[in-house]
Amino acid sequence: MDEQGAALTDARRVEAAGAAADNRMVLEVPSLPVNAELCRLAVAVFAAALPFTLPEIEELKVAVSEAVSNCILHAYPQGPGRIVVRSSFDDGAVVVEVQDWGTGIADIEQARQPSYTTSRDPDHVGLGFTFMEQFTDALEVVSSPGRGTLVRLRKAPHSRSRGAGA
Amino acid sequence: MQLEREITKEALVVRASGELDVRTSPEFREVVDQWLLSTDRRRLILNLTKVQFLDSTGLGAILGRLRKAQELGREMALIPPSGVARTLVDTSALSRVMSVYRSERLALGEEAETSHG
Repeated sequence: MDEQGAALTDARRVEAAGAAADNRMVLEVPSLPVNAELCRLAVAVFAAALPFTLPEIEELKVAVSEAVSNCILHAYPQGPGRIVVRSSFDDGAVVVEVQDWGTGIADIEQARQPSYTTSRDPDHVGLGFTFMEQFTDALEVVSSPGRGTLVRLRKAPHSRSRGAGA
Repeated sequence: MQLEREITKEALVVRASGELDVRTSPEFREVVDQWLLSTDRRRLILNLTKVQFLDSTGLGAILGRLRKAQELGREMALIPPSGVARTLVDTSALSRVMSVYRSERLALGEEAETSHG
């Protein structure tokens, strides 16, 4: 693509981002393994209204996948329960909330430590929160045992090269 | 996710493509373990070059195959995916517990060097 074409595409992207600023998406799915991919792809398409690079979109997909996988693997040991994924834009960033109404986390600080896992499955590496932190600009976790967990993550385009966020 | 295998003189080579996550990890685990048990090759070479998506659940499944290989007295080598998935492999320090190669050819070359030298 020539320079003029690239500039035009950028201009359209900025215009699209402006138009998308009020856009919102709410996704409700049962905590089945097939829905990790569905949720991360839906959020990636939603977020693509902002001028994210492809690697940044991939990072966002990993972060969403970790949050949703936590719901699938840990929130509902008795059988599938509700997962709600809300996406919106705020000040040039995408904000994604992943919520469940399951087991909850007793000690959030401990859960966020690298390699911490409650699972007895030896194949669990306990890096979910590590990747959520690594690939987003901000991560909030609100949880209450027996009542559920809400993970809120925020990511802006080029945040690292601009030195913002994190 | 798709899996294929090739059995060389000394290695079981497993090539994975697609997405390695909470949905596909159980199948990955089951198939690779079955292949490991059905051959006596002393090395498992796991080629993830064509894996397009990886998260911590997928990493756990990879690490679990190392454990399985070790249980059976085998060695495991990894050819990691590229892009963000590669960052995950680096962060998890998988390279500290298994040999990581840039290509299948290099991983197999190492095999030739070891067997002849």
